[in-house]
Amino acid sequence: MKLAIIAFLAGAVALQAADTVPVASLSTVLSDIATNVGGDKVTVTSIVKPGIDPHEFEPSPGDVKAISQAKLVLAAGLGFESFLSKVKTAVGSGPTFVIVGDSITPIMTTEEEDHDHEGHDHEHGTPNADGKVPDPHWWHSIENVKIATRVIRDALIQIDPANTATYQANAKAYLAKLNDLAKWTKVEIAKLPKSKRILVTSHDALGYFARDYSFEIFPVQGISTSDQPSSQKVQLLIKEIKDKGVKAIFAENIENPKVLSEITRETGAKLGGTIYADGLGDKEANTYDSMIRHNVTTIVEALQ
Amino acid sequence: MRNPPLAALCAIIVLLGITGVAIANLTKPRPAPALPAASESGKKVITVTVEATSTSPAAFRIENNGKVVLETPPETPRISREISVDAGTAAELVATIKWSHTESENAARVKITHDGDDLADQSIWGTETATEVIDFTAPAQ
Repeated sequence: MKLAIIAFLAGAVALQAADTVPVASLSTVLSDIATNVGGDKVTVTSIVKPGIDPHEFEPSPGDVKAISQAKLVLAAGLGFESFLSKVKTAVGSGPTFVIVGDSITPIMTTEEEDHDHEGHDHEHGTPNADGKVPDPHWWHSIENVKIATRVIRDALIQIDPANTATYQANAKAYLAKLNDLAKWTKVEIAKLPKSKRILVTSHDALGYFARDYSFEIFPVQGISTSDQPSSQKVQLLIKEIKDKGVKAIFAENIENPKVLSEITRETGAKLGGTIYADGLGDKEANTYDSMIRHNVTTIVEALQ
Repeated sequence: MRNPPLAALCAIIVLLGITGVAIANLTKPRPAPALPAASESGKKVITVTVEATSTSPAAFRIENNGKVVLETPPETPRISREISVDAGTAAELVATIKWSHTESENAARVKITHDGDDLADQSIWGTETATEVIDFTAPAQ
């Protein structure tokens, strides 16, 4: 009898899942947006899990299978997923790929010439005529996440027009939440004098945040976590930190803060806490909203 | 004609006196024109006027660079005060308004002026408390 009930329940769950739009997401932030916009009309599978370094991620055969079974695949783009072209080739023309970064106006940044790639084969986005590459960490601007919300809403409507009203209502509610988050962030950052808005972070992931809130930024690594800093760069950074009297520097949830620890020893600056740069975490930063609130609170408290 | 050389002498003396006074005035040391004061950080500061009104009495608080620069008691109907901000920079004042009557939505208007020029004019809505950033570019002089 018990087995019959379990079989019935399993069948019911499978039926419900079959009625929803299968979405595969290559970014934890996009998974959260898709869950908010899609609600109970979608089943979102996060290919890149919270706490995993997306710069180093390589999809397994199981991941490729999950992507091929999705109707919609969401990618951050701008060179963030180094494996994207390989996956597209592997899954063929089945799922619709939406590269959200294609709808974002990127910050163009100079790729460091003196960094090492630790033997990894990765992309940094397509360089423009000046040799600059797009910074792929666009979600650190809340305005960009609003654009992403609209892009995902429109993609879901395209794939599942029967639930247009639901996607529109969910997106509207999520955009209102993002407006509240933007207002809160602005107030919290305004408590920090501009002379103290100096961010020293593990890698160059907070460029959009720095632009939106007038921070000067000094990353130890380049825009990818596999870009190892030269000893000359570390020495220059130590000098900058001393000259500017920077109070705190920040580690990332997926980083080994060894280099940062060395810098704190040399400069007297403290480790200001852990921030989430490349995606969501699995505890205090398991949604986009909580990730931004955690990062802002950590930064403001440490630099005040 | 009555004693014309004496009259001419008097006229010359008067003219010399006037010229002397004028020269003395022109060469007198003057106080230097007032320069903007300097903040703790050593930057030049200017004075701006904060005017705020509300649909119902409220407590107003303004923070600049993390410090409270203006605070009123509860039940204040309106304020007009001068505060100092760094000259020639993008200022971000954090305005917090706490209303006494919380039965319905309240609104406050905060206006920042400098020498009669409007720098910011912002409406803030809320039921009990509202906090918003008022940003503007402070003039260099």
